[in-house]
Amino acid sequence: MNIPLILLVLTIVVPLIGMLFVLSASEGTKHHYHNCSNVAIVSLIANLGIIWQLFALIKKQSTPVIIEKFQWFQSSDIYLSFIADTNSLLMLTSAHIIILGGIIFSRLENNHTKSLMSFTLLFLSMISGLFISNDIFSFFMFFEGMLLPSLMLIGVNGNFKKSISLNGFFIYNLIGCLILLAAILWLYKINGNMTLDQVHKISARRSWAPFLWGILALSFMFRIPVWPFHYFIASVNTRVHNALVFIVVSILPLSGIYGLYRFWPDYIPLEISQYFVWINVIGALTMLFISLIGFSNPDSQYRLFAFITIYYIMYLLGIFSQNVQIRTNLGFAVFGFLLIVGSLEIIISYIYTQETANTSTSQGFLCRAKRLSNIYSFLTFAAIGFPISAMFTNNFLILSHLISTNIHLGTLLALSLIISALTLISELLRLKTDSKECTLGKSEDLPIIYFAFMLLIVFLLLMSFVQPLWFIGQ
Amino acid sequence: MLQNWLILSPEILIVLFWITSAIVNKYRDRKTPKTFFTLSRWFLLAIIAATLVFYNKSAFPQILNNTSFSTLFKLIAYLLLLAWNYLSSKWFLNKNRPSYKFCSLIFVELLGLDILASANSLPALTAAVAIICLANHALIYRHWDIEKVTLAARLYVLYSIFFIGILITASAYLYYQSGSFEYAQIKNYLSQQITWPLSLKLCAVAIIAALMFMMSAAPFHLWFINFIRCGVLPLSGFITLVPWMISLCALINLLRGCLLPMADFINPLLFSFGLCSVILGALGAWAENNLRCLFACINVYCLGFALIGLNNCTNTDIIAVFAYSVTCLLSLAGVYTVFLGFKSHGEYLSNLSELNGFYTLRPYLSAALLIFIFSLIGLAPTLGFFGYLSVLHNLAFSSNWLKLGILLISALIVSGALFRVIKSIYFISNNQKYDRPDKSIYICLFINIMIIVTSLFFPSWLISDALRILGGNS
Amino acid sequence: MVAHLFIGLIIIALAAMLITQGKKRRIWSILLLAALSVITYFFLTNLNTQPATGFIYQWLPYHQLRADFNISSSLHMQSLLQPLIGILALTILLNIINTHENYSLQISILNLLSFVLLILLASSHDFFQLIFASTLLSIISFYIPVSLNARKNFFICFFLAEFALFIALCVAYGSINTISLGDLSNFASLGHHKDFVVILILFSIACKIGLFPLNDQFNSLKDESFNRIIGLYLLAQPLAGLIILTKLNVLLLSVPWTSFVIMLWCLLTVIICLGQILVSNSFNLKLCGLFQALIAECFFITAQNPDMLYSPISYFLLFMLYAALTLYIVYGLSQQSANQTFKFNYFGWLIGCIPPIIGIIAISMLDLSFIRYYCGVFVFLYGICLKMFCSVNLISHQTIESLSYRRYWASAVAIVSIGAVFLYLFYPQLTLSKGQLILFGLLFITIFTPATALQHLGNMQLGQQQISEKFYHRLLLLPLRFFGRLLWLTFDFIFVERGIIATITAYSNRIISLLRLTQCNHWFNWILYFSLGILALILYVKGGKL
Repeated sequence: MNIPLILLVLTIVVPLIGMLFVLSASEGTKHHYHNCSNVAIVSLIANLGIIWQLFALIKKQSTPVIIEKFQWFQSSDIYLSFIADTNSLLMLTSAHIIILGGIIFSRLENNHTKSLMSFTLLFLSMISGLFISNDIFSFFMFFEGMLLPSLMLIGVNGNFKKSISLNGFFIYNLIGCLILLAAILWLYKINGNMTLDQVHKISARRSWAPFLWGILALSFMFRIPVWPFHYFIASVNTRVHNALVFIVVSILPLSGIYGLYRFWPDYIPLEISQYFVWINVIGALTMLFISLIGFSNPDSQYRLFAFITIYYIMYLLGIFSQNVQIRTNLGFAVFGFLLIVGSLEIIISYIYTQETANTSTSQGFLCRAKRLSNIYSFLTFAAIGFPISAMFTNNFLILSHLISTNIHLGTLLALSLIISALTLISELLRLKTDSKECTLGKSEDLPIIYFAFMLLIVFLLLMSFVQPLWFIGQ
Repeated sequence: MLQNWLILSPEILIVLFWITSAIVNKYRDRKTPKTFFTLSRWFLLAIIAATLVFYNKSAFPQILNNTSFSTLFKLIAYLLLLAWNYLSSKWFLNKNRPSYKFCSLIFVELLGLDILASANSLPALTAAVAIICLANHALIYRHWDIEKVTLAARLYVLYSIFFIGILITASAYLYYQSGSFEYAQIKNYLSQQITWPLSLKLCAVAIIAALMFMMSAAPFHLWFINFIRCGVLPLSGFITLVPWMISLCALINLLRGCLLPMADFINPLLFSFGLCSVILGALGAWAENNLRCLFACINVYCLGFALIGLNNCTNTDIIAVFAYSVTCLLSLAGVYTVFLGFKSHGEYLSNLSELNGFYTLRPYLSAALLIFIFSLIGLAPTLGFFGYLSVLHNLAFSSNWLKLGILLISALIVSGALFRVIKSIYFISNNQKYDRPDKSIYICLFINIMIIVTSLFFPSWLISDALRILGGNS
Repeated sequence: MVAHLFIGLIIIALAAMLITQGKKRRIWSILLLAALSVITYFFLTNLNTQPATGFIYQWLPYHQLRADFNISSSLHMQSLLQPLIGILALTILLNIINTHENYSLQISILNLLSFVLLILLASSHDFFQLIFASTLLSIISFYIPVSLNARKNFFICFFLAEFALFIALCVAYGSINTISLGDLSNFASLGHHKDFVVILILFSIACKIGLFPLNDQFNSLKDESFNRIIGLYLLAQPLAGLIILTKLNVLLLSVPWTSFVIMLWCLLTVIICLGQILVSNSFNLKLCGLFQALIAECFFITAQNPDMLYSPISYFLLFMLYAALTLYIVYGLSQQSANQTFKFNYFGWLIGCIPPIIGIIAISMLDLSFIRYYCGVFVFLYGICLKMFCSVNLISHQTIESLSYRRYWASAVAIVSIGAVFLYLFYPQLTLSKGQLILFGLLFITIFTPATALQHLGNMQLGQQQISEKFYHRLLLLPLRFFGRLLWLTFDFIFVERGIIATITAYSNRIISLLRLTQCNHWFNWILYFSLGILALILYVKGGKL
């Protein structure tokens, strides 16, 4: 029995099975909704167990990679090929944990409807496929597949009002997918179906290579809110009023980052790499632009979006830097990053819910809600880059690389990081500034079980800084 | 002699159906709308069985030549007709309208389609086209509000007369030049020509134009859209689902068996029709608020996609287009099945705005429609993606980057148009009440989705096994 | 041994955290102090008996990025820890005896954690541990003050300090490709952007120790209780700033202008702080001014010779605590006397003698040959500060007659102090550099500067709080918000939403309406499409020619 293959396929199939169970549930009462979220939680925990087994297998094999192949089309060389390495599994784990958090908190906010759970599980299945895919067609399939559930989640469960933005979001993402498809077909023509590792090693010296790499980079950048196309993503992300949906939408750009991480070649000759400076300039300007907009925007959701965007662009620049250490650390950094932004969003959404339910202002809420205050403060500290999570190391590496390459760009990047951090700090201070209009009190504080979950996240973040792979004993 | 009669049993069964239904109509007192559909179902099963048994036997091979290739296309069309007949009976039952004439006319068209698929000579082709046009014209008059359909029906007659006229003229001219109506003889004659005189070019264009008209390729597609706009739902479903595969089979037969020497002249012509259909279909879908018309435009678009995919009409091209057509038809069949569920106070709804918020009351139907729509768009991981991929992959392999680019852009436009449907059904709320759909609709949808899901996990039956027949015979 | 102390204190802090639920758990604070005493007793008794050992945990294994969690025992460390333990114990005691403190246990825990982090910072051998300890200290500093304004100022200022440090070390890493502090000496030869790095590090340290004008965060402590101020000054960021200075001094020396800038900056801070002491009516502000002036001086001395931190300066901090404590008691009594029409003059004289006596005792405890003339500077400054305190604050509630008397004796104390300074200055075999001479000269002038001149400076310092507030709001927040809004308006709203999207929507709507028109069931449309199709076919047949 091919255990690695079974485990790899199960990471995709388990959420799908969960989704079928959710779909078969009755709808209407609160009890039914609880059933749906229970199923989703069980599926997620089961998948986390499978991922843990995969980590253990990697450790047992004493190599960082497991590769398995599933012949899909009998007569064609299009097949499904899976890979599991530490970085991809770390990203997958963080996505699972934070979506689990989103589901658990959706119970608290009573919005865990059937559609929310089923599309979330579908999304999870797709992202699992994406993170373990090893050939260009499997990768594309899951890359594009993420679009459907995320779109439906935004439209159906995001309490989204401005539907024209949704059009733009869909078309914009689809353009990226189609460009990627064209690039993949091109790659296929060159060399047949190839693994991502082979793509990685394609010589960039050939005459067509700049164009091919350009298209590939462009397609992935369509998932990331880079100026001037950030609008289509920003207009949707900032209007979503559901923590789980926001988390899903925030994970979406990660697919672009991950795509670049897997596709981008080890070595780029000078003829091509000289253009990187433009990417760096656009990236740094976008970061500054978004950080300033985030700073001026009073909406906490927009502020978080600005923060997320800035970090995604920084990871993008990190990948373009072709620094081996940055690449090695990316999985750990993303692990911390996802946990932080996901948890922050959950807490922001919780505060928003309490605010609207009690028709009160949230200013000063943290003065009265101790648990909430502790968690929120910790997450803010982690988010602004303090060395209490795995994000710190990668920030250090990327910044040092960019500054040593180009001091001006590096400074711009640092400036935008400072502004985005100040944005989060000012939000924290606002919530900690007592106000007479705030009627929220201790009774609105985080319930103990949810607090325990948040403590788990805090523990994971701290461990991610000290010893990210503690759970397999390395 | 007896063998020839036996080989002609499918056609004889069609005639027998007319006789039987006429007798039943005349002498049976307790006839209901369902009676003729039940009768037609049994006859159809018999026709399918007969077609399968004599899959490669021909009574008059010079006129009608049955091959495993044509049988495959026929079978798919017959199976779709069987399913649609079953669903149409629900419409007639609901409306309590007589079904005798409708069923008889469907069988008239079936005869035309049967001849068209096996046509091996120009008179057979002309006759088939004429029968089909005649049947279509008669079918449009099955509407209870004659005034609504008169204009379309009359203009269609004029169109038909023109195209059948040029088809006859072209056939006569080719007969005059080559001394035979048979495809093979004409092909021989054409291959001896060094240059193409204007008359021959005109002949080729006339034949292709007539076929394109019948297939509803743009710019001769207006009849199709208006038939669907004005016609009853069973007619819309029928003309969308059934003639497609057989027309495609006839076109391939004609191109490969007769006009192959003129490929250099005809392929750009087909591409032009394809391009026109793709553009007008995709943009036309944006312009429609009537759901059926919108999908009629999508149908025109899909046809254009297939025509562009036909490329040089090589074996691989045909295989790719076959795969695409099957996935498209499965999706369209699903869409039309869902249409039968769009019912409020006994009336079938077709306006987009009437379906706002349909999802909240009929989640399963909406979910099914969602799958079919995404399949039509060709988004991974739906089945449509494989059909889509097979055409694009084929074009990329033959370095037709321009065609590939056009198809990708058109896919983007059509996705936007279909997104409007999703938006209306899922994202906009409404308080309209909808009737409970018939169980048969759910059964059909379940079967359709099962086929789609099975094909998704084991696409080899679609791409490899079935197409071995095509590869071996074409 | 230090590792044991480190782990023991963390365990105590964690255990205390678990029980710290309600207010006024003073008994737990006492137990905490007892536990601390036991641990430190074992630490101090085993200090010289055990060899210098260390605890190392390998954290990041990569070659260029090798980071260890290192807590090692060294002579420097031991000499730093002894006075610090004293400060910690006294601070916790202050938390306990201060009846106005409602959260004595919590503050004690924070002080304990600050101490632990100072150990971590002092024993750091690489960038990561340095940043880690320094950042956590910033976080702890955020929780010590009560007022939100102070917290806000602390957090923003220390965040900027940490970030500056972070960027500086990023640049250094980019040049020397290692994060080991031991290899920083290579930066002088290999490093790029040296000025940039030095500016960032100076900025970071200045924020931490509160050099003018980056001392607003400390001035915002005016409403805080005494024990919290002591905790913040003596066990948190200022000391961390000094430790960082010793660790990164090599980087600072990579440019020639560092020592001159430090000297000038320290001098400016001292003068401004003296003015603050003179002008301010608040005891806390006077105390802050005093601490800032003294810490600025410590900074100057440490920058001259980093080794000075580990013995004289750390002891001097203990001395500062004593001095502050006595001033606090004097102030408390004077307040009481003002309310109860108590005869303050004589009693005040008695009390007023306590600080210089304790100060002199504290100094005499030190090894004079080691601390050399720096000791004189401390006494000198202390004398000045005392003069300010006595002349302005202690008698502020008294009658005008007693005022002159107070001034008289205060001047006497100051003169005694100055005399002591001169004694040290003209100590045999003592040579002074030109810079130090200038510094002393300037200080000397300061003490004889008329009070009105200093008042202007003091007003400037007090006004700085409003200025920095205005600076933060008008020059930082407002432009940032304005630019952000402007960018959103010009790009997101006008360019994208109203420009690109609106144009595309308008044109596509036109195309759609045209298509809608041509697609409807009208005879004209049938003919139109038909004619167009036929025309196109004819064109095609004729090869593009009609």
